[in-house]
Amino acid sequence: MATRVLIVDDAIFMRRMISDILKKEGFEICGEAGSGTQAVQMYRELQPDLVTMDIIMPDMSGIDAVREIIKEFPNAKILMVSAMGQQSLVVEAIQAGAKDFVVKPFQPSRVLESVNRVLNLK
Amino acid sequence: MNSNYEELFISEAEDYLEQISNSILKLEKDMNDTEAINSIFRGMHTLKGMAASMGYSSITKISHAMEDIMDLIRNSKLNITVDLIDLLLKGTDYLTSLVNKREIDENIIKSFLKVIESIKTGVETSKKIIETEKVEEKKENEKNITLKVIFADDVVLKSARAYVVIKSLQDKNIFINTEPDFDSIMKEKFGNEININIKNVKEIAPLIDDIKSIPEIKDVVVKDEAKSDNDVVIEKKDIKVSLERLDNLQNYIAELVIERGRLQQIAYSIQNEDLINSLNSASKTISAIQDEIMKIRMVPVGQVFDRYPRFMRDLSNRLNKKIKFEIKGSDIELDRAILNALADPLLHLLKNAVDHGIETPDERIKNKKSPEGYILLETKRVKNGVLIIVSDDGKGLDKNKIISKAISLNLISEDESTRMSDHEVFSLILNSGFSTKEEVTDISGRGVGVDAVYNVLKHIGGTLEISSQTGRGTTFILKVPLTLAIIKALLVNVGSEVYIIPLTHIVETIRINMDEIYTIMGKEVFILREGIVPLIRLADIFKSEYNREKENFQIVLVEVDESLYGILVENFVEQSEVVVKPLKGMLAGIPGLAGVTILNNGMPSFIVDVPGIVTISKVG
Repeated sequence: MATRVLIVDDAIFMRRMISDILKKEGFEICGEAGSGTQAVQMYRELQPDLVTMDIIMPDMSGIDAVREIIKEFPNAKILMVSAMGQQSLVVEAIQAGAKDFVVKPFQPSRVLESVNRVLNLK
Repeated sequence: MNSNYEELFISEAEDYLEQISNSILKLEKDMNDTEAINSIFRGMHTLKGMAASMGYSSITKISHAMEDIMDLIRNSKLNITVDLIDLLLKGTDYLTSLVNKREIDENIIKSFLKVIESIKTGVETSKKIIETEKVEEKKENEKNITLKVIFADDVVLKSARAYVVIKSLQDKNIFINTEPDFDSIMKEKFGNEININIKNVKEIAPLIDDIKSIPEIKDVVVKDEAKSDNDVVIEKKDIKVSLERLDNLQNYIAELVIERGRLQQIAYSIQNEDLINSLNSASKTISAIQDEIMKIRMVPVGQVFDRYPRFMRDLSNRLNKKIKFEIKGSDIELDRAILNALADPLLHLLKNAVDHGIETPDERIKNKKSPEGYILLETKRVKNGVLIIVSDDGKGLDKNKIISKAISLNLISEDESTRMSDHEVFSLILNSGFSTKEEVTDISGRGVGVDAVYNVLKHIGGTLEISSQTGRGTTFILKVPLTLAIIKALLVNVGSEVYIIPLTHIVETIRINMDEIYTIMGKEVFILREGIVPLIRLADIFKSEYNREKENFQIVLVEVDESLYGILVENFVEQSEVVVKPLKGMLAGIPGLAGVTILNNGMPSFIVDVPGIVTISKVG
């Protein structure tokens, strides 16, 4: 069974890019969310193997979404997608329980490296 | 480890070992020779400290074991026998071999340590249980592992990346701390790598693989704490000259300077133009050589201080204390001999700060302080010398404890203690054998600390000041001269005496008339460019006879602590370079004197301690 990934980003463009990279490698994109609140809801419904999470989003931020998800699902595997210059936010997200991060703009190989590492974590 | 210290360590350790074996031989001849016993003890203690800071574990262990034995002997808990002397000599041989990078079979060392342990247990049965517990606890701590994590060259958001690594170790409950410290890492204040201290794990390889799997991590290596004493590579960029050679050279130059002075006197007295000219150009060359030698002797303090952070880190880990250690002014230069002499005393002070000064994180939180203690080693240039300041924000010195200890040691009476200022109380810890911390620890030893520091400072012509506030911390200010030996000075006379005033304090010289001297609040002053300047009659300070009623006098204007003072003298003799010799014996304690020198005419003359006479004039 393919690994199921939930992609969270308010920009459709970014969701498409990440989705293309992962599909090519045989991942299944089980859902896409455009906000933090949506992400939390969809996680509950789908319980994916992995989440890619944008940091700055309308209504609930990616960091708050991580907190909400980890609270209910402590073993959730979340990969942050950050822009340059958001260092302290990334640190905060990892503190909240995100497992790794990639920085936009990114190389496909770099995204896959992080995805695989996060998935391999016990 | 920096090769600078290696050289330093070897040469100094050799000296200590030589001194130790001489003392052991003395002890063999006279088993009651307490001076020899103390000398061996102190030698071992110092060697232990030096080796520990270099990370030489075998040398540390052996010297520590031998120090323990000497302590027992010192306290008459162990009798000296011929066998024991043999054992001490054997240990010294092992140490000599290790210091000189000769390998010794580990089993030999082990069995040697075992013998010592059995001697100790023979006398220390009652303490045995507690001590073994302590030792084991320590061992547990000592097994910490340091991982060097190297980041990829193209790493983005370096701090966050480092945090991913730290977090993964935190999740495994093995994270201890980092170097640089966590805050610096979060502020991207690090290069391409960080060191992370973690608790011991059974299998390190999977852990390393795990960290390496984190993106943008180039490599992870285990730093070997207990690196073998043998794998030493000494870099050779410059040639190394032993300090002894430099000392010799400087002494010869000093003789030459004195001889030059005599020659000049002769040349002027016979008024031979050619001789005077030739002497003048020779003089210039002599001065140039002197300057060069001075420069060769000057090294940045960092050369020695750079080894402290590592030591402080290990030490605070071992004691479970959180400490931020900072070094400021490490590019300031100091005479190599002075710096060498200060290396160990400073280590003592830093050890004390960690061990006795900084509280445990729990205690600190309880006292509403940040759980992380702060220790600063700061070097500052000041006129005529360098200040080295060791300060901590720990619990401060315990005045009452010092007083009661001083009373029990008969240093002061109870009555006296009530009248003492804080400063006077703190100065009590400079007395030999003074230590308020009762138990013996591996780190600070037996209170050979502060008094030993003070002795070294006195020897090199420095001073030590202590200030402390309960709950706020302690500060040690070491004032050391820039260099030893030759100073430029003005020779002045009062009555029949010639005194020497170092040029470093002198602002200018002026001439004043008797009627320009006024008295304000019982003190003599004169007006200089609309400012009032206190007058100090040099003759009054040293109780020399002179004609007070002369019409005019010479004034040497000096600056001390940013204030001007006028030193009144009768005449200026000449400006000259003098060789400073320390005051010894009865003269050593006279206030206002910084040293003595031999004048060109062969007569001794005193060098004035300018800040000292300013203080005297204020009190008197």
